[in-house]
Amino acid sequence: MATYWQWTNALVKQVLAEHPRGAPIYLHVDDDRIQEAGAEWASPGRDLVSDFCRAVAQEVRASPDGNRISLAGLRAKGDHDRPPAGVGFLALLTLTASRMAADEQFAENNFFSRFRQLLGLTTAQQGRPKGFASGDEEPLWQNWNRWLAQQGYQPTARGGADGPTRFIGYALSQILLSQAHKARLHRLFAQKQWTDVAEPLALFERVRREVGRDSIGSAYLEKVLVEVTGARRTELAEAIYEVYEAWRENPTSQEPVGQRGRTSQLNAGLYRHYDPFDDTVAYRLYPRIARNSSIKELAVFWNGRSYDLTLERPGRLMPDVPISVDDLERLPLSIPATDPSGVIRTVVLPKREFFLLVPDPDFPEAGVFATWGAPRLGDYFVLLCREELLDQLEQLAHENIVRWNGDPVPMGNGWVELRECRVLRDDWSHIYIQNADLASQLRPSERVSISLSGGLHLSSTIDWIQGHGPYITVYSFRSTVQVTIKREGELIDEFTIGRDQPKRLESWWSKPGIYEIQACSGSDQADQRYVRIISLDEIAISPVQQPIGRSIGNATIYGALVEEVP
Amino acid sequence: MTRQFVGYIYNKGAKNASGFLRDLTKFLLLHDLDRAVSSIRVERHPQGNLFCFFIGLPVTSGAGEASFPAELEKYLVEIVGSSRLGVFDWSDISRMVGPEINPAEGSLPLAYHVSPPPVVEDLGVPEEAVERGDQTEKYNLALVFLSAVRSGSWEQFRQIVREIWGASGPPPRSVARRLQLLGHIERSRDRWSIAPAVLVRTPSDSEFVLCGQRSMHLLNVLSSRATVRQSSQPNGDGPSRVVVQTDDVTALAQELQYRTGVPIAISSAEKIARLLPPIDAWQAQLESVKGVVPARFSRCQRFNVIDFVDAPFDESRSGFYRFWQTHDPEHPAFEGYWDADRGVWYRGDWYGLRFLAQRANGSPAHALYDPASRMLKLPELVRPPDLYERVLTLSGGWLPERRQSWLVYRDVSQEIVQLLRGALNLSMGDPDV
Repeated sequence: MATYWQWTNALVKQVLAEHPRGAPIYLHVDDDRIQEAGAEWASPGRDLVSDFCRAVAQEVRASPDGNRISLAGLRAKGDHDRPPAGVGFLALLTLTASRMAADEQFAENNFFSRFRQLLGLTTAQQGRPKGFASGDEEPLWQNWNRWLAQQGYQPTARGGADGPTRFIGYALSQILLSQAHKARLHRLFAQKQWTDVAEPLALFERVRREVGRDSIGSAYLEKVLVEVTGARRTELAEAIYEVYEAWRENPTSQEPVGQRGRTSQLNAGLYRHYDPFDDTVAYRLYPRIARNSSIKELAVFWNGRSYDLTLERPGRLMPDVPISVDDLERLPLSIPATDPSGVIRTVVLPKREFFLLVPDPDFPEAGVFATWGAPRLGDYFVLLCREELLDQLEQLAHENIVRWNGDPVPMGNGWVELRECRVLRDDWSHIYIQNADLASQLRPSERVSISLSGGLHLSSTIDWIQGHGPYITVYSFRSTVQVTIKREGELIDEFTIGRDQPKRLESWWSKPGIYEIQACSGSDQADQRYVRIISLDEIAISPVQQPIGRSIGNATIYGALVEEVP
Repeated sequence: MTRQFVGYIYNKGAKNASGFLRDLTKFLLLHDLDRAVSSIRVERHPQGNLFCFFIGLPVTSGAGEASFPAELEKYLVEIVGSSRLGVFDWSDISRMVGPEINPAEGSLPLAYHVSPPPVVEDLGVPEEAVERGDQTEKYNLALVFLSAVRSGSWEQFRQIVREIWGASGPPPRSVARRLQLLGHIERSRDRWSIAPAVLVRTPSDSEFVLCGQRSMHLLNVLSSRATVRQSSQPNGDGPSRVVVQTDDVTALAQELQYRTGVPIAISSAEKIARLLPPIDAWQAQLESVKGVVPARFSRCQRFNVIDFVDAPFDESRSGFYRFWQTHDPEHPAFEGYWDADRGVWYRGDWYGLRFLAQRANGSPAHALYDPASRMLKLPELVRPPDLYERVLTLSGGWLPERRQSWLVYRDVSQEIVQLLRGALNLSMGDPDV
């Protein structure tokens, strides 16, 4: 049997696998995850989940059929080489959450009766075992969050609202979809036969519209779908999309099957390229891949040419393939493609009446827009849509809910661009527009959002350079927002700020470390962001991919380097 | 916690109940009073602009009467036009009021700002000649940061320069040009990318200049494996010149690659110089621009030996022209080189176009070279096109220094001078450097 530390290391490795620095990390441990993490110890007849539970039970000295555990050995905070000691135990808590039935109330009693079963404790008694008082797990979660941030990742574990589920809220915050919820979604997709959904958020909104129609079959999942906001909404949408892709790959199966991130079809969005010199706009195909996908390159065959696409950022391939407005007339486009493993066969640009082109989340001020998701509260974005949608959009503009700059710009073939769009109000209750997908994707899910901009930011990470940290701008539907900044738990600043007003003080970012920024406004749900400040010495470089070159005859010059084609 | 309700009658205002409630909610949010007020209730079936309403206030047990915010009282009585009826319990009003309105669920619209139009900076605008003191540290920071980011949009480059230098710093195009001359970055019309790390052989024995991508770690490893000298560029107007002394550059490059994970190439400025075509062929490679109609512009200038001067466009005369539109007298609408023989407009590096204009004007491209000190002097007015100038700066890793009306390039090998002399039709003068 593997030891507690072997399991801890294997699970942490699995949880972090394929995630770039800066990505939000969920300690999402379910039966599948344990099978994947323990693959090297697998043997016929061996139950890896039981192995894992026994390893945790030994570590916390749970006596068989007893009612007491000890967390004394789990306090170590971890360092560069080793995760915090409590992570294996926290993984058991999230496994417990994943095992909850689709409609089981996430009350302490239900939760701990399953927890007791997994740990082999007596089930004759209810609630927390002795030695594990309410709140004892909080320092362990804080250690995990801090350790993740120190490694450059975005922590996500958060407690629930004050009340009886506050502390088990941490475990629940890590489980995006339980096994039972995945099964319910699989059945929903089979029932609805949706085959044309291209974007996780579009699918999410479609699923959310089923709330209250008896088709989801889980009141708990319906509640989550309605209440989830911000970054967690994006992550949940990705998790639902993974179930959707698995169903699309095996539509006849009764239950979710298939390996994570392995499908023969990739979906693509659009990348908008603006040339300020000629004042022209061009679109490019922007294929998306699952975040944990092993695909690193793809050959795409389009209009008689072959394009070799490499990874542009986690979850996206390079936007190199030009897409004209004529091509948009012929949606959906099914484009032949292949990856080195031979799994991928097509990239599909699905049929759409609109594309929401939002600013680059890594560098919002760069002036680049693409289908990176729905606009966040406060974003200025570009809406590329069919002319037929203009009436509905004018209605939103008339109600001062959405505004854009100037007149719609004709792009040809009945497509128009609305530029510098911004959602101004949250008061949509009396608004009805026919295109429900458009309405639900336009409407921001959050009421408070933190935007970090400026400074010297290393793309796709939470890293900024010492002395050049970000400006903080907070968007809210209230006039003021309370902001706190903490560095490694120590309060750096606390202030009230007007919304939409970028603020930065030199003193905030003067020392390297992990900073936690929290914004709350009245009773609106808080938003939270992490920033890691690094010194110049800590900046790492990696080889240049596809550098710009200057061609002369048979040679290309890259700075001081000459590459000659023989 | 219990609640008390302060009742009012709305009897002097002109709004109906929903208009009144919209204003009241907005007031509470604007003054951060939405948490002090737990709910608002209006009488059932309110008629026109005469109705009762009740402000619910949270009361902590044992605290007696709830405190009513003074500014809200003032707003309701003096501004809205209501009269206070008294304080009530829920049981007093429950049968006469409509559904609860929670002010905390209201929302204030976000403001809308139209952003300024994007800044269009053509590749060809000349460098500024402002002296700002030693900028080495800022350039070093920029180079290390750009090395980590690796590539991006031109707008991103502009933001990085603004972040490092502040609003009164050098124009981003100037910073970009200097980094390009030293082989650190490359630029296309709207993007930039860092150049691969290269050890460039200098005319001095066993000495190489580090160009392209760099990090502090790379410099530390380099210092631990070879003799490294860092010096400032002329006037501190560029990143540090890093010179490495080694007898086995191949082994050093391999070790650096092993220790940093970044490939390090070996090259020389002569290698690039041998590729450079004669200036006519270079001109033919420039981007040609169609659809330029000089008659449509309100003002025209032509480069005339020293500077631009107002002159009508002459179709029969090649030259570097600049045109303005009436509505924007500050910024030229178009700058380009007109080749009268071919009838083509060309766009490209500003100094390159000026070089062509000087040639068309018959201005002599006269250079001075001293083989002993390896210094080359060029008149500032015949600064060569960027790729030709890059050969001069890469040769020794030095940016040119301005001396009166001359540009002085250091550590330029004799072979490079010979190659450029041929390609640019330079006439060489007595060595008086």
